[in-house]
Amino acid sequence: MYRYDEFDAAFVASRNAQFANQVARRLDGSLSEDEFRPIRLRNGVYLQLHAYMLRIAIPYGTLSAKQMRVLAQIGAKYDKGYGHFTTRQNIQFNWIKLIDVPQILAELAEVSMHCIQTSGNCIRNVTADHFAGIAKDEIADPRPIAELIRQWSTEHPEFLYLPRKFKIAVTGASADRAVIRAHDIGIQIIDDVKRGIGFRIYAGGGLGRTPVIGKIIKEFVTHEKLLGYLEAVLRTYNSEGRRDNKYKARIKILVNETGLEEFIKQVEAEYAISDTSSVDVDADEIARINAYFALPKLLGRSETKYDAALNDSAFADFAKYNTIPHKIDGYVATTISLKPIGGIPGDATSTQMLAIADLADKYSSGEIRITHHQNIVFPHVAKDDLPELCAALGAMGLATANVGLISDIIACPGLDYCALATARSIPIAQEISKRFESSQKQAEIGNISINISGCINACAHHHIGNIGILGLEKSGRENYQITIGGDATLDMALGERLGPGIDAEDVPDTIERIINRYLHLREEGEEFIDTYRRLGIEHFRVAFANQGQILSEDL
Amino acid sequence: MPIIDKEGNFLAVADNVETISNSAAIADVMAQFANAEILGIIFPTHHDGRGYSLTKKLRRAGFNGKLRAIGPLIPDQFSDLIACGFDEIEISDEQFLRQPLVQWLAAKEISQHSYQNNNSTKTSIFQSRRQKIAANRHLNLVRELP
Ligand code: SF4
Repeated sequence: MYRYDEFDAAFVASRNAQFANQVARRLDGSLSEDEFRPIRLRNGVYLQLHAYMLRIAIPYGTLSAKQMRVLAQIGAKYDKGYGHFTTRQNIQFNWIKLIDVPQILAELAEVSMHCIQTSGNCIRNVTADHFAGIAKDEIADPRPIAELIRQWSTEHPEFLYLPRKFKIAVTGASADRAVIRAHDIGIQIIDDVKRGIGFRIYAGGGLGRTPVIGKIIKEFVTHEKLLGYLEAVLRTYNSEGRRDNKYKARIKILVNETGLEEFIKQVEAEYAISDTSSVDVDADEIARINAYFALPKLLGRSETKYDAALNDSAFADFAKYNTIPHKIDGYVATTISLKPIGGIPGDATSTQMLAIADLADKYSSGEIRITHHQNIVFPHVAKDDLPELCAALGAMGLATANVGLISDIIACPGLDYCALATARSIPIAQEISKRFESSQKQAEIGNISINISGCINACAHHHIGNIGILGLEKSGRENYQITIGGDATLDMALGERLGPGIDAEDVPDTIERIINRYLHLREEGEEFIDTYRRLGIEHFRVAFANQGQILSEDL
Repeated sequence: MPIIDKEGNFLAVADNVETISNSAAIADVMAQFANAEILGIIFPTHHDGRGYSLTKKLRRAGFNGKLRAIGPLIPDQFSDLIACGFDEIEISDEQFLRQPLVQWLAAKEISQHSYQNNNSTKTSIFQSRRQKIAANRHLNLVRELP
């Protein structure tokens, strides 16, 4: 894991002193609210429906057990005893008092954490594959480059007042688990036959009210030149991006309105005359950062206890759904689902966070990851420890074996917390998850993603859920639009609307009818998305047309 | 109107500054104002960041005169404006009353470190690291803080 050196630590300390000074100047009237707002947002402080929300950066979703303990304490001391993990691998606390913020920032700084650029119209906290460094399909670990981008983008003097927020994600594997094509910039590590390891750059992706899939703007950039190239993209966007309408200010609109080819031409022209020497990364710095991400020492272990435990069907389910093979034999990456049946997706209590920290020390070399699915990963678990870990997690209500299944729902905070929401999303997720409570049923349905956003801003990525649910408001009532066929992988696809919006009470029935329809239509070996792709949306519309009654063929 | 230069001096002189919009094309600006002594870039709001990139581009194109940021800018933007190539900042009387010179100086002092190697008044973290690595090389030591 990356560890702060004294320079990183000094930076965060002076940044905290700066923010304390800014808060004081806001209070004495030197700074107006309009002047203070971007500063507050760049420090992760949002004004929400009921209170201030503080969003803490977990760069590329990696944190240590020690850091998790501090998050648990913050939840207990300053919030209501829990925190909420987000779809951008961060954590947010929804019940914070503004007056406590400087103290919280100081406690975070003790463990090399901060809230810098988790909000506001700047380059946001960078995200990466949650299985980075572990997955067998990996070309190279995306975290060193994500860390480099974190440093470069931190308080970059030129890019603090962009037209709109700017999100960057990196993947180093052949399967994209970082949803890079839904980001303003997506970076894919590739191994080019001639040129070796380098980066392919996508730009202009983003969901929100105008969903757009990111397109390739550069086939290959070297490690050394990456930051220089990113500066050229950002400078082009900062100069040309629209500022007259906040809904048209993201880079995706600039790319669309300029035209992809013309946009690429502009970036290349900018890049060609840029003096990148100030951001070119030398081999020493690359080596310095790389060294932090070496695998921990993982000893060879027997698998006898693991094999024996497989006789227990609950454990077998956990092993099947919540683990993936590790680069090192005898180890697995284990996902802890924060989606218990009927629970709030992504929420963890302080008690659970503390337990997670202790278990990570014991079973995962002290390392923890946060996924954009709002789950937690222990990256390095010996298979032989898995039965014990599973039992310990079970005691904390954390052993739900549903990763990738229908109850592993991604949902944003929605109307329960968010000031922008037009409808609730958490209760919808809870109802759907209860509806499909049976683990046999979930296993039968197989891999499927449901994403629920509480407004058009699409924080839960509903466009790219296999089933997407968007909560809107229609004549004073919550109204939900259902899409199907979205896909979050490199073959990214946006879901298609099934029909007109429906009431909250009808959502679980409708989802059940869609699922029954799929179970009826699917062929051997197909997952939901395959059946949809083979047949198209029309075959699913009947599930929608017959509101209120379950079709006989579905029963 | 009050002007603060990058050293933190207060200048109240009336002068003839040429001003351009923050969306001006570099070629046009250079054709018209390449030899201007002082060129002012208008910031319509404090959160319209185009002026930062425009300055970088003007410096790159060889503009050697003074560059002045004009608009409702705040002390917290002082060092970033300098880092991008500005020499001075012009604000309104109202703002200078609310945010007097001491606040500008304090804002510039409070953050001393930067991850960018540029025209900054701050110390570059990358450069500091390089120096330290060079100094420690014979010990083959890169210190890690807990
Ligand atoms: S999608 Fe809308 S309701 Fe949900 S978190 Fe984002 S802004 Fe809030």
